[in-house]
Amino acid sequence: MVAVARYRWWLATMAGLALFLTIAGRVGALTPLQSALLWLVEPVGEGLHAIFAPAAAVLSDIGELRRLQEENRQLRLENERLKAQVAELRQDTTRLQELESALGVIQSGGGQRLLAANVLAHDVSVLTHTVLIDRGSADGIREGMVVLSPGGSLVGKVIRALPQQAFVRLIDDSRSVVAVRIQETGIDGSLHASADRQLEVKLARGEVAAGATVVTSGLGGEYPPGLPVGKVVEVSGTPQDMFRTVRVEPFAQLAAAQTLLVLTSFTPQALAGN
Amino acid sequence: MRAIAGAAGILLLAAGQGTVAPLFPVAGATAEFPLVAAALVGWLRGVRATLIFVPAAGALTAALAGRDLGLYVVGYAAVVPALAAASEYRWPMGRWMGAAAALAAAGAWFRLLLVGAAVLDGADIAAGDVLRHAIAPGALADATFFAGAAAVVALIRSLHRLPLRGARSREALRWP
Repeated sequence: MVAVARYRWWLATMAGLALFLTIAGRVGALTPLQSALLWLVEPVGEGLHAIFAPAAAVLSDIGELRRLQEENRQLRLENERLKAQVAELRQDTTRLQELESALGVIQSGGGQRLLAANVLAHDVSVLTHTVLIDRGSADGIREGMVVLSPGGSLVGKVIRALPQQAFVRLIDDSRSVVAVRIQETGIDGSLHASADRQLEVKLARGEVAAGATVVTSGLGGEYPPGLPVGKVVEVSGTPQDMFRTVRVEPFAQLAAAQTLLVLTSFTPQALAGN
Repeated sequence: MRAIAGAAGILLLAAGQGTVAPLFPVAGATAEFPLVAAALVGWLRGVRATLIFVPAAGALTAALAGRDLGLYVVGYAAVVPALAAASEYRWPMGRWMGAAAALAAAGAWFRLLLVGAAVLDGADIAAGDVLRHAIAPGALADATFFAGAAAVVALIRSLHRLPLRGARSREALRWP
């Protein structure tokens, strides 16, 4: 252990530096520096992603070759049937996408105001899953705002807003808790993520079957009611158990999210209180 | 010039941690590129070469991920004493094995810190799951990338020696 003792001053310096950085981070002294760094690194990150994403897709596909071949055959058939309809819709869709990207703001059918944002980076550390988006407080984003997938299902909420970027905690982050309801039966519960990022609903007594739809209940005021979350895929325990564990598959592609929508028209209760 | 190259390398590693590492999960875990790089530097250049690299990479990676900078600095710092301790032993497969062991120890320490921080922040995790879902898959992911990078380094080293051998053989084949 002689070699380790040689670095004790360095370790003490690191402990001091860590303490200083933690305090500075807590009081917000590092925010301007962090914003500048994120601005500087944004094109680098996009470039790296563009280089490595195709290789990652190939590696992922190799592992599922047989399933993908069958899926491909089915999709070809379906593709033929849908081609005629797609041709008609494509023109309108392209026009809509152009307008949305030009405005940056999407007005959904339900009168909700949504702000489109691109995902710049994922932080998939132990028990955590957060993403960095390219919209921040300058765009009207505030901490606590709800974030949806392009399809309108729940993805997470904003935990920190910098001027030009914001960090979003996803629902498969172990620190996330969402008040949910089984749509078919009306039973309330809470959605958590396990250590391996599987979504589980802890329910009070009641019947629930695989295939049921999970939506937000609105209890607690952090999320608006009725947002689609996912589908029940497995139920463990008996109806007599105090709490049954219900595995849920999210509707949103959380690991591969590239575009997100921030729900700016809903004010969470914590924000409204402020 | 070397400092600029080093800073650019750290920037790339930190940016890659958020954009590239999640694309290549191993056993559901993401490798810590800066820690893997620190182990590589320790293996190739010795422990002293990591003294600036480690805190800089930790602070930058945390800043880009929106995490506590101090947590990452303390978490990554473990690789230095681990490399120093590993350097005192004679490893069966050479010094790179010592660096790999140091990486495993530092990775476990770092992930334990992250688990602690997440639990303080409201995460609910059983003690048994810490090893099964946090430490073990993370160590496997780190080891995979370290082994891959070590193989690339070994290949580059062997290619670097090739011109000498080639020159000798060309001279041998040259007409008098």
